[in-house]
Amino acid sequence: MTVHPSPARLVAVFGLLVVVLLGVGAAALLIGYASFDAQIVRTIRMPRLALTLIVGAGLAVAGVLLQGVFGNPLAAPSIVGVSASGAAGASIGAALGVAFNSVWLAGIGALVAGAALAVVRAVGARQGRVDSTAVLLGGVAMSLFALAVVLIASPFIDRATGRSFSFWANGSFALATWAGVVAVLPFILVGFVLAIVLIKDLDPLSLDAAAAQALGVDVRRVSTLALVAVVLLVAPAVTVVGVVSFVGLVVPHALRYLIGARTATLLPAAALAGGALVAAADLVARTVLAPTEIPVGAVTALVGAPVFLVLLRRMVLTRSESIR
Amino acid sequence: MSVLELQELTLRSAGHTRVESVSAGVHSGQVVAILGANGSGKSSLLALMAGQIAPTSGRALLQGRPVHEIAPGERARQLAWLGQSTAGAEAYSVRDVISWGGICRRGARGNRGTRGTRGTTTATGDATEMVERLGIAHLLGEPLGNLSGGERQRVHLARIWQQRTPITLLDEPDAALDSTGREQLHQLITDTASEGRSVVIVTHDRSWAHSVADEVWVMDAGTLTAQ
Repeated sequence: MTVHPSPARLVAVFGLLVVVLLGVGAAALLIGYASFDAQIVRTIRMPRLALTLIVGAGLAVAGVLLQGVFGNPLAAPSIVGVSASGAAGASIGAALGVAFNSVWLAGIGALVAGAALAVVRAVGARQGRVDSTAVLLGGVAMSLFALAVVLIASPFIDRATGRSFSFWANGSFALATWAGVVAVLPFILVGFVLAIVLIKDLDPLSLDAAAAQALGVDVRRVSTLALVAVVLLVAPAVTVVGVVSFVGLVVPHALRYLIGARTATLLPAAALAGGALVAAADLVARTVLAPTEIPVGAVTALVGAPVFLVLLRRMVLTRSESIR
Repeated sequence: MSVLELQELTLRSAGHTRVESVSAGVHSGQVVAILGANGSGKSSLLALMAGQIAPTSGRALLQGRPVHEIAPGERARQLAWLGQSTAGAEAYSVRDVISWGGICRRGARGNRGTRGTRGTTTATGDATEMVERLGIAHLLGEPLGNLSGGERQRVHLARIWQQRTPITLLDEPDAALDSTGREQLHQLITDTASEGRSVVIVTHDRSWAHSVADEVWVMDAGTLTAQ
């Protein structure tokens, strides 16, 4: 595992991520389509690619923030209940007639997800400290509850819109439009800005909250702002493309092995890698069983779960070797 | 005059009295050792002195203000606290962890904080000297997760000494250290006190407490029985 990457290594990794991102982006615009019509590229393929990039970047950065705040490598948007509760908010809003791909629906998703995350955090909080295990277990329960809400709300959503339970639970970029990009982008940009503001305070949280506080970190303020950023980075995106799991879990882990744990380098790398991963996953989802399109969340789970298990095993082995 | 003054300090939690009406003071340049059996309230008292927890009643005053009400950044410039846990930050390098001791002075006038360990001057010596004094200079590039308990303890001692605070509170800092480490810590505490800075240590080692401290407090069932 790398703890202090050399400048050359950092340049190599970031360079590789940019090349992969450009390659996947080009492939996403060209592969799997019968023809190259400028109008179709502009109105259908480009907004789809743009959404995959910003949604993926948001999910991966949210994963970095959650793992930093809770000091737990298993923390991720889909684990702590943010993704599913965002879908619950969106499905309730849609059932009540709020327009898809709108800032309003994105806002409702963010509000519901924020409330759900606040409840989960409160469950794990005691005397100003947060028990991350309780938060993760509470998040799993919240996710199941939220998906039940989606299931109940789904019949009230116009079938012609293409938003079934599977859409919300497993994600899809098939309905991407520029309106969806415009609805999501402001939230994600604010989330990125908050994450950047918090960069210097997140590393000491990897000790424990008490030690970080004693070093001068305002743990309550940093945690609250980081969780607000997570909600803004994830929930509005879910209202447009549904739940895309494993990105926020796997990307930070994989990158830590390559460039170390420092948030200042991990955050931008996660944004690039998350965007590339989701764009690639969408390309696979769209082409592997063409003309049938499979949910993008199924692709990220099929790739992400085994990769995560391998990383987890390596982490366990590394820890057991370090016990002296 | 006391730099840290305890007035009728009491802590009750989960139906138990952890600390009962403790009144005492720590003077500038003084080394205080707190002794007591397991569960006697030593660590709770130190956490109250550090402002990590709020008292049920009474006050711990730092420069005349209740210490737990002082903002974390300002408090960390006055008072360093090292708890018993050395867990966490496994994926970070020793160099990174030690550098976090400078966070409290980030943005402060005339100080740009501690970005690394080289060339950072402290009152007790620069950071390079500190890691050499604690015998961890060869570990700077290692991940914390690869270190033994004693090595980790030395890293955390180096970290909090980077805060360069007038008061340093240490909860069983000698617990994981070998005899060499204890001697190094003893010398560090003595040098710190000679610079007019105060150190409070919680320990189970009676002889070490009496050798290093100017004053020994004894806790029993939450009360200060000897001073």
